[in-house]
Formats: sequence, C-alpha cells, structure tokens
Amino acid sequence: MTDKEMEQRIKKAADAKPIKTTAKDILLAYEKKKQKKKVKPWYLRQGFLGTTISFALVGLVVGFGLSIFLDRGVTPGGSNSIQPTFSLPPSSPILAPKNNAILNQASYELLAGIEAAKGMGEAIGVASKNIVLRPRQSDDSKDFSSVREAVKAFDTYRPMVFALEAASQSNSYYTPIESTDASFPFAISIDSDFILYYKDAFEETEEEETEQRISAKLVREKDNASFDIEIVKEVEREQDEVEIELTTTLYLSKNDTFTISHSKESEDGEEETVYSLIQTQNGEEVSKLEFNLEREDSTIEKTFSIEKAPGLSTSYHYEISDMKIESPSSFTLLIDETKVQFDGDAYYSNGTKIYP
Amino acid sequence: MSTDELLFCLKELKKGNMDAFGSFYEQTKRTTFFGAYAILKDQARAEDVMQEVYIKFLEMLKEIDESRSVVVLLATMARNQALNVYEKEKRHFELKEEDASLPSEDNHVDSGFFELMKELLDDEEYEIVILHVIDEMKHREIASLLSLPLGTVTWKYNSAIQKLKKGFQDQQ
Repeated sequence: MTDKEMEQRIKKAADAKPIKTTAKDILLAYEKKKQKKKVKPWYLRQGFLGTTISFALVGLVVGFGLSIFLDRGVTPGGSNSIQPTFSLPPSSPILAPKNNAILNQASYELLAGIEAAKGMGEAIGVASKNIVLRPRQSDDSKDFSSVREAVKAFDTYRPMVFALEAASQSNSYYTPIESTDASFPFAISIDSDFILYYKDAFEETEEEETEQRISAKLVREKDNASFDIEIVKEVEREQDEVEIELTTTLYLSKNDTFTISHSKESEDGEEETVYSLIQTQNGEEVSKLEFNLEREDSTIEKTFSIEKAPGLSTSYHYEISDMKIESPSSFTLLIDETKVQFDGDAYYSNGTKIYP
Repeated sequence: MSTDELLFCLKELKKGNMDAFGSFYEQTKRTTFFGAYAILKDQARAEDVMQEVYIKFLEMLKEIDESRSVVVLLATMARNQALNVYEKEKRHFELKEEDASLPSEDNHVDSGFFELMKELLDDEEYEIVILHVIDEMKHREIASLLSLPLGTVTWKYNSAIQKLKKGFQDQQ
C-alpha cells in the first residue's frame, strides 16, 4: 500500500462518518442563544419608574444591612472591631494608560486584536493587522533591506532599530527601539516597556503571497502580558526555487558516505520523483532509504533529520530543514567530517552555501 | 466549493444573510467536526463541540478577518473547544476514580477504522493525520496550530502513515 492509498483510505473512512448536526440545528441554537441575551434582567423590565423604585429599595436594604453589620464591631475598647474592606477590581494591565502616546495607540490596537480573537480560544493573528514591525534605518545609517539582514546584524551585536508602526492609522508613528538582551534568541526593548521576543526562527512563505513572516511575541515586562505578532516583509519569490526537506531518520557515523540518486516514475498520470539515499561503508551498500518528493505547486516538503546512532562512539545529530537545492537534482553536503554525497550545489535557505 | 465561494458566503453572512449559512456549513463541517474529533475521538461530543464552535463563529462574524483561512480558523476553534471539554471531563472522571479513559459512544459505520487508528497512533500523531488528510491543512499550518516545529510535524506524519500501513496490512 502506498502512502497515497493510505491517505485515500483515511478520507474514505472520514466521508463514511455521518455528521447528524445540520445547518438548521445550528441556526436554531444560535437564535435561541440570541433570544436569551435579549431578555432583560428583572430589575429593568418594569420601565423607568419601576426600575428607579427597585434600585432605591435595594439600596435601602443594603444600606440598612451594612449599618447593622458595621455597628456590631464598634465597641469602645473592644477587640472585635470589624473594619469593612472594599477592594476595587484590579485594573486590567492591558487597559492601563500609557505615557507614551504612540504606545497608547499600540496597546489599544493590540487590545482590539485580542478582544476580537478571544472567541477563537486563543489569540490567532492577534495584532498582526494592527501592529506591523518593519526594519528601518539604524543609528549608524545602516539600511536593513530585510528582517533577515537585521537579524544578522543583531548577531554581531550592532544596534538595531525597529519601528513600531500603527498600521491601521492614517498617520504612521515611529518609536525607536534598541536591542538589549542578546541572550534570548532575539529581544528588543520598546520604550523600556515592551520586549519583543522572536518565538522561533520559523519562516513561512505563502505559496500565493510574496510575504516573509516571522512569528514573534511582544511581552510587557512589568506584568508579563504578552501578544503574538508577526513581522511581515514582502519578498520576491524566485521562480525556479525548489525547497526540499527530506523526511527520514538516518543513523550516521564518521566516514560514512551517502549518495543520492533520483528517478522519475509515473503513477496515475502524475510524475513523481523518487529519491534514494544510499548509505555505504567501505564501498558496500549498508542501507537504502527511498522517499518520494511530491510537488505542491513549487514546494516539495519533507524533513531531513539525522539522529544519534545508538551504540556508536562517534555520532552526529543535525536537523536540516529548508534546504534549498538548485535544480535539478543532486548535490554534495558536508556535515562536520561526515560527507553526505550529492552532486551539485546545495544552499541553506538563508543563502549560505553548504557546499562546495 | 472554492476558497472564493467560501469567502463569498462569509461576506454574505457578515451582511446578515443567514441563507448563506447552509452552503457555508456543508463545506466546512467536516473540517470543524474532525478538528474536535481528533481530540475527543467521540462522535457525539465532537458534534456538540462543533455546534458550539459554529455558534461562537456566528456571534463574532463581524470581527473575522477575511484574509485568513476561515477553514483553519474553524479547525482551530474546534480544537481549542475540544481541549477544554476534554480537560473538564478528564478531571470529572479522575474525581470519580473510574477508568481514566473517556467513554466512547462511537457506533458509526466506519468506527472500526478510527478505533484502529487510535490503537496504532499516539495522540499527537492521530491529530496530525486527521488535520492533514481530512482537514487538508498544510504541515506548516499544523505546525503553527500545535506549536511544533515544521520538521517534527512532517516527521510525525510520515511515521504515523507508516504505522497505519503496517497496522492495516497486519490486520489483513
């Protein structure tokens, strides 16, 4: 059974599963819920006069009760005096007014994003429409043409400046932000109040869009309130770019060599490229792994992971992803002293050439 | 229904035209249902969650961002709601000191298939397979949803498919 056949089997089982709930059921339930919300609480159903009288009565009762309660504890020289305590609800840190007018805009925009996202159970796309971070010219007049360039600059500890731009406003505001904490993968302090953390180095390129997105987290130091945001940069897609991530696990030891070969097969009229990764030792084939690379538009997806070989004294662990291979086929990859042999050129997706 | 048609339905719903809900529901119900089923592994509970998700969806129509995939949104909402239900019920069953596994009322035609999937795969693999094969989410979207690296998702998916292939072959 091929992988595709297995997937078809799963889909068939899913299609066979009847879902009893109909659209009508849902609309009925939705209407019921709406009606419930419209029902006024009892104290508002009586009209203005009735409402006023109701509130006045409630106030009298509460006031009377309180006065008795308070009087009980007040005895000259007594030790059981009870002091009433009234605590105000803690003010929401999100709504706390900010001195910085620009961040006022930012924090309210973020709030709007979060409130809208609350119904989703988690903040999905929070603030990505409201807050956009773009690299701008730094103090030493270095122009960062991409976020990736800015990241590289950060790695060499040069100061970096990002502008916090209220994207939904007609006038744009800029707040200089300087990098502070180099120990966290990526941290930028914004007006000493927010810190921007890059959640991970995950880059995503949408197939139909020309945007580069990096997930990040904006954290307010004093109360740890945090918001997920995206850093967006438009990029130009290279037309013949092929990204290959290979999925398999290989046990690797020093001086092992691998070769990769490919062939084309036709299945149901669709052309597939089949790759074989062959491990050799002393010229003999030790193991062989085959995998298919299926094209999804212009992207081929698989992930290549080399795990620690059990029982071997020398072993290597690398995870290779987003490996870009210039067409058409094989290349040579050097990992420490272990050679994974392909023919051609190989690059990491950040442009660094792997080999030669 | 294409993405454009789905978007058209969404726009109609936002205008208050509830007649568009029927088509919208038919095209998205499977994704939403299986988003919950992947966690709860129970037909009835998954349908309850699905209903709650759609009601919430209708309540927040105005705030929905049309540039985002509504299918992914629904699957995410279903997942989160299912997780809430699962946690609540798990605590309830733990307090009762009964068997920790939630009772299943899954009696449908091909429940044997999903039962076998449950046996062969761990929770994460099960969910990833359902999200990719049935909900047709891309690995990147699943990685983002589950807060896992892309490589892990792809690796787990392939590992799960191999397990299923072997499991079904052994069964035959």
